[in-house]
Amino acid sequence: MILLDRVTKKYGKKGLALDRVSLHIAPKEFVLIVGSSGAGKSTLLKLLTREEKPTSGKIVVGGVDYDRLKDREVPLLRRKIGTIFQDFKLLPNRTVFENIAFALEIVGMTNKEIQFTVPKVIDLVGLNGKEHNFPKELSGGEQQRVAIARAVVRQPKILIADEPTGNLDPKHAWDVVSVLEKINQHGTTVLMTTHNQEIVNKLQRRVITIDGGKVSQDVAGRKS
Amino acid sequence: MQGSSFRRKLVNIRRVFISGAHSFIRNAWLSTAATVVMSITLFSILLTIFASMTSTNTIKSFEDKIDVSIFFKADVSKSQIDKLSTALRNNPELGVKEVTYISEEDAKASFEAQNKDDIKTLQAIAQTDYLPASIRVKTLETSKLQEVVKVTRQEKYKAIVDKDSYKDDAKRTAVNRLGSIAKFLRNAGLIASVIFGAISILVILNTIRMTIFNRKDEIEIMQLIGASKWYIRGPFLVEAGIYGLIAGVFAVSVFYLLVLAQAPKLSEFVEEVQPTVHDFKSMIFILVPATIVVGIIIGSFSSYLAIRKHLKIKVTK
Repeated sequence: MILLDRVTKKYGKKGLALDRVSLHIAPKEFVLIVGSSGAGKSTLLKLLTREEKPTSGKIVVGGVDYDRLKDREVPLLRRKIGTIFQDFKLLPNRTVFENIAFALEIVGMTNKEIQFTVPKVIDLVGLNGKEHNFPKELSGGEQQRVAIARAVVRQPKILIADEPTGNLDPKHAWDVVSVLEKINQHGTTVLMTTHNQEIVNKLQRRVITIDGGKVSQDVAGRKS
Repeated sequence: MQGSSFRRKLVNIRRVFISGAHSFIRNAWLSTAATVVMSITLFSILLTIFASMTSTNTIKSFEDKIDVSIFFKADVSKSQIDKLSTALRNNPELGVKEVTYISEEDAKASFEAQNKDDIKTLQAIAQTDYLPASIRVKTLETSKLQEVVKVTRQEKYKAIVDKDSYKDDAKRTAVNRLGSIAKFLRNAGLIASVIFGAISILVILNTIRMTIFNRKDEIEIMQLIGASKWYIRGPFLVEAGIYGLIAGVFAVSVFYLLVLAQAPKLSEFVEEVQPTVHDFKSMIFILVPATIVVGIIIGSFSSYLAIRKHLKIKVTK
């Protein structure tokens, strides 16, 4: 599902963010990426969503070879991948319902389909009653759940989550992780970065540790 | 399948319009600021057109007053004068606009009317045998008056033409100067209108650029989720079109109310405001929709230009 072959990412001459990283993630896997701040976790995810290009190496996601990907094809790629951003990236002038619906609108779903699908996802992330609120009217945890709902509403084959529990208290962090597990059970490959050791221990999934831009450990989990 | 694709396109177009309208309402402050700036600018453009038309009318009426009179000898018949008039009219190089015949009687009556309060002059004129018959010639271009007198001063007309008003050097200089001032004013007015129009469009472009810059994060988010360029751009174009629509209605309404209300006062200073006001009144059914359409086009086009930069897929190498 995801293949990285000797991927290097440099920022300028000195900033080496990733150093010849090679990875293979199978379909339906739930993989945790851990590492200290600045280790290169977010860079890795940005390469997968094509926010950034590698300095060298090969990336193939869902059968798409990024070397052959044209700029005009980037939106189509991003529609296939659900992304949860560390800073939520919600549209400030749209309500909860509209933010989630936007992900469906851009793929051309009808209003009827949207009206049917969005409430189900809102229910899944536990945001019933908040449909008509704007992001600024929500707490950090609620905003994070809207971001999750938007990422999963298209039922993507791959879900990339950058520190989805970073801004949450332990209870809400677990709620979010439970949602991601549920999505994984439905067949979505989940790739999640985290700092939270408790989550890593409890989830018992494959853990890839990145240190200084390199993969220092790749441990299979009991549940994988 | 094709029908379904067409239906999806229609759904998308509808969404783009609704989304643009929502953004307009939800970004109330930005929308108000942009609309006000556009209104002022469109109003200024209308005012420039009005001023330019007034100055053109002023120059025209100014030029209308510039003519040359050809005076005939006492025993010249009407048919001889008509012959010369026809020759002038038919000469394409002169560009004669109007030839008015003034008979001896008309000249005397006109002179008496002009000097009705001046008894001494009236007594003097009563003793005079005659006032000469004349023709007053107006040309399309004042510079051509010189060519007219060149014709009337030809040898073959010496028997009938006594003199012309062009003989006066001072007047000739004045006529030539008036002609060149009129030409300069017309060109300067045109250049000023073009420069002002360009500045107005730049002001609108910059205002919309600022509103879009304020929302560049939204554009980035839409791109990251996978929205196509047109799906992102569309609502911004609609929103800027709404600024233009409202600004157009506002500017043209205020302009007409102001022009109609203030025209009588203005005409006390500049007589030629009245014909311009008349022109504007007669053009109301063209000018109102034209201003609104221009507002929508300038708004949407500015938005199209401003958003282009933010729509480039930013992939850091």
